[in-house]
Amino acid sequence: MKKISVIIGIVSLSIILVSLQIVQKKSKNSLFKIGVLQTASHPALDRVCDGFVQELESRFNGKIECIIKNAEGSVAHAQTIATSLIADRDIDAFFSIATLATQVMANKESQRPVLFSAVTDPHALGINNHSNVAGVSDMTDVNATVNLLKELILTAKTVALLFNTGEINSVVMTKALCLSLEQNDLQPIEIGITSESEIPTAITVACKKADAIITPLDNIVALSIDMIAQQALLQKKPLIVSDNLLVEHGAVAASGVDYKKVGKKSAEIMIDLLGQKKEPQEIGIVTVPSDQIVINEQICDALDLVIPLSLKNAAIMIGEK
Amino acid sequence: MLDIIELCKGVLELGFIYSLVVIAVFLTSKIISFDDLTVEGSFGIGGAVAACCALWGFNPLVAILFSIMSGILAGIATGLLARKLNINGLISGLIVTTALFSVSKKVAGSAMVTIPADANLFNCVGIPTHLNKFIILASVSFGALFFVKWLLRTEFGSMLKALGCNPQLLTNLGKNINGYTIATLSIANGLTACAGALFVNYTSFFSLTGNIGTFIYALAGLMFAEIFSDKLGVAIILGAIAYPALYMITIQLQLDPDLTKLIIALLMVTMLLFKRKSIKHVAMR
Amino acid sequence: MVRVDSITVDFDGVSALSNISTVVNNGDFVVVVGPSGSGKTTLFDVISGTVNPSQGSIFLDDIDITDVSEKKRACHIGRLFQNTHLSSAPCMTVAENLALAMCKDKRIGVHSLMCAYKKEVSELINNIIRPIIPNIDELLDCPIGRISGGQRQIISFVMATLKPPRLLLLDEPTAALDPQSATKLLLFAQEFIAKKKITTMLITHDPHLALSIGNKLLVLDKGVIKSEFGQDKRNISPDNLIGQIDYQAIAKNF
Repeated sequence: MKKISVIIGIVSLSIILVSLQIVQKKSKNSLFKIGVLQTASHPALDRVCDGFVQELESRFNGKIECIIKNAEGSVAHAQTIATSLIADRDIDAFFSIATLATQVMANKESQRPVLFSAVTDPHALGINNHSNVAGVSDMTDVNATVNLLKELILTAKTVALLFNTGEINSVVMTKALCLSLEQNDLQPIEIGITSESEIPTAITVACKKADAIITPLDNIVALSIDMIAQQALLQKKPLIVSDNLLVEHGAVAASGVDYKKVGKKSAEIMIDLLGQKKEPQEIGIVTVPSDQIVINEQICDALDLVIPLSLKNAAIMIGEK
Repeated sequence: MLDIIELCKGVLELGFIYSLVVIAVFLTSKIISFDDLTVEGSFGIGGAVAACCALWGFNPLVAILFSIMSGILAGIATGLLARKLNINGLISGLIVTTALFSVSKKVAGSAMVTIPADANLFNCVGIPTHLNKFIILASVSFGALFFVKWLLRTEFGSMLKALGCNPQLLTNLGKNINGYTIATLSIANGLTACAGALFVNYTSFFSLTGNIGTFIYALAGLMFAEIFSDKLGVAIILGAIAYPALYMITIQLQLDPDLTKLIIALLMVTMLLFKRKSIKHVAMR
Repeated sequence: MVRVDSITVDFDGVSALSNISTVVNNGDFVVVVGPSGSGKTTLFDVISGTVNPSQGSIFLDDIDITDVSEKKRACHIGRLFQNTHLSSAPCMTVAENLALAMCKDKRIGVHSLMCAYKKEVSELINNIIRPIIPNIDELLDCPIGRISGGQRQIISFVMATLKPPRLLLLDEPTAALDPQSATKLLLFAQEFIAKKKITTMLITHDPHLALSIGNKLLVLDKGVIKSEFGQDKRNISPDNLIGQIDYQAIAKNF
């Protein structure tokens, strides 16, 4: 019985290895093959990926192959996927979306170009001296967010900051927001959470203690936005988010980054890298301006907020009555 | 063209790191029949301590030592909760793991910490070759295996085995059940913390959520190991490698990523059906 | 010498033992009988330290051991259980169990268990075990949980009496055995106890055994000592001890 098991095991393994070779061959039509590693599934990151892939496909007329993998937030899985992508010698360059994927990719691959995107604080990653790494930062301009809050919610004195203590992006941005709020004579109240289960309590406390709520760029917030927005509306507290995509879920407004544009910009940089027009070191870290304001009219009405005309003209209005 | 060697190397290296956790879970779940959830927290605190030491400029080997000590303390904490305060073993492990989440964050300083290249264990120890990580991890893995095998053959180890199948015997021999339980938990969590430290050095960064799923990973590894052999041996290391290997296969076959976990579950069932040992033997234990 | 002084044990309002007092002198072999639920095992539990009495004290050689932990008492008080698996480690081999028993009263180190006690275990097998279990050599590498109950109980007995304890408690050791194995164990035990002069207490439901072994008889019922009989119980008809014990009949015949 043992011998048969061993033989079956060896045969299966051989079949698998052979089929791997077949599957991995670069399709003859492609000019380039890109390995994409996304940290987790959520709307912003999905848009970056879509924007990136669509732009590349349109520029290369479809003659580009993208292998897209998702680590679903697990470090160990990210490691395994990175090993897998790097082992594919046909891949010309790598694209990592968000911090975890970038940390893993940049530390494993030192030859081929690694382009990162949607990383809020690239300097904290310690990859400045990696000569093959370049990227697009999605750091939101916190001052713009705070100004937006001031213009829309005139009576605000205390502002609650709901953020994930376990996500470095979130922590960095929250610190910056605190500073900006204090500079604008507003009192910040930090409410940190570690998992989705803590959100209901956190948002209730936030509504009780503050006049308004701001959330930074944060995976857990993104996933729980419906719950957060619903509760905030119920308690009649305005919610300002940092991700434009979340405004339609019930937030008042955001002055953030358009993630599809981030994806598109990343694609443009990738094209330069692939064509060897520029070296990664030359490109360094690029930022995309986060000045696109999105306002949810319906929520503003529900909270009796008056939208100044100047803002109305500059912003994208959603949630028409 | 697929670099199979690179692929295998990556899977094996990860497997070697996790084999330490599988050995730890073998010691607790199988030898002393104490399902210890602390390993999830120890993996994290081991990594946090390693990261902290790296930032402070300690020698990476000293950092590993400190990591192991933090794991030992975690094991002692769980043991005291379970034996002295009579809290259920699983709950004790859960309590300590929960506490360690906060402790890890404070020790590391932040949710994600990069290990400077000059403080990385793999850059400081061994020969600076392509295979350095592989050699070091393989040595540690086999070293830990032989250490625990030796330990179980000693008088001390025999007490642990007796504790697992009949604690009354230990009392009859005038031995302290609490002491042996706490000692085993310390050793197991020391090993896990070491694995956590190695993981952090391997990936070059510490992530607060990097330890999530460690216990499940280790149990799965143990289950796979049982397919090959019941005893403590190379089977444990094979079992630890099986999970990342399965995951790697699902990635490579470019199967629908949403179905990955389901496919792994199905593959696990298939592998378990090949198990030589009959169910009866398991029940007898 | 063991003295039980006014021991009372209450479990959630139910009195398992009420004001029990008795003395077991050195060299005595006391047989404890009584219907189910009379408190026989509880008495053993109190003496060995498994259960703490609500009231009363236990003295071992005039030293008060009431507050001494079970594991400390285990160095002086040996015990054999009805469940043949409780006195050994079922997952370990016979040889390993014998070696483990050698560890009693010794500091535990990191020497290889089998190497450290190879000689002693060999001597034990040759001198004591092989005469009673001739095929012991085949069983040495078997997990002790897999051998027959009778053989296991004999080995458990050897393990418990390796260093002759000051008091040996035998709690229905033959109840789970077939008659042949039971007889074998009892003959062996009796001879060994007599030779080493071990103070022993035995619980049994077998009336014939109760009257044929030991030099004292203790009758328990509903947590109290009904009667104590000294030397020579030969006049009691075994039928009086079957089922509900007829104390008057015992008293008449004694």
